[in-house]
Amino acid sequence: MKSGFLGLVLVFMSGCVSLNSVSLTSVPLERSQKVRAEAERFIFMGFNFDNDYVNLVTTELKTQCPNGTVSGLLTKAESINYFLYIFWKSRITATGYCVPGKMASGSEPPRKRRPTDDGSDETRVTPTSLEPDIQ
Amino acid sequence: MMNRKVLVSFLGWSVLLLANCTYSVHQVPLSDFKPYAPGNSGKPIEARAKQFAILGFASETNYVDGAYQRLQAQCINGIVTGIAAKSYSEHGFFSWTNHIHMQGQCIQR
Repeated sequence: MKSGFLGLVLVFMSGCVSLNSVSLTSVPLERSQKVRAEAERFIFMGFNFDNDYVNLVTTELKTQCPNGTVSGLLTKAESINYFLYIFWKSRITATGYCVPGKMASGSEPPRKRRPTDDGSDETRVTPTSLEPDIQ
Repeated sequence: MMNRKVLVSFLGWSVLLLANCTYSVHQVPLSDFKPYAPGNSGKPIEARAKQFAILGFASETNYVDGAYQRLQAQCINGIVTGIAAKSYSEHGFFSWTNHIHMQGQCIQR
């Protein structure tokens, strides 16, 4: 009886992880410096008044790569459910690489856009310019 | 009594026949295409991983990281770009298998 109760407690208290979303960015050539950030929040019966904890991931990644570009990011959003789904934990994990000496901001010229444009660059590369030159 | 036997038999066969024949796609994340390159350039690479879960009991989701590492391992001296991943589940009898399938382009530098 006692062992059965303990077994049930163990089953209910162990967290069942489910994957909510995955996102990816291009993986750079330079992969020597890894970066990793994690943010989580414990939620009881769905009472959650903001999602600000997610912003910690970006802040943490910036801290780990102050003089470079973070690339090759794999971001996972997970839910860890405890005890009959009454309380759970939301977790964001981001892993990637810091490419040193290549700042995303500051070094690149500002993007020019027309107000009526679809968001693409004004000085974008046309498809014909990508084709190899025929001699 | 006869009807009950028929019902039980029907349910039993349904479970056997329908197990592992339903799938659900959860999401299809796409990465950026950087550097810009023609669509037919680069080497197509792919990696798969899966996780079996009974009644939803799973303690981690490291299979996703594994697939991502295997994808990168196929392109050591290049950039992996245009990554299209597919996250889906294959349903079984009180259990399911979570799958992740990643495809990308390896552009050698």
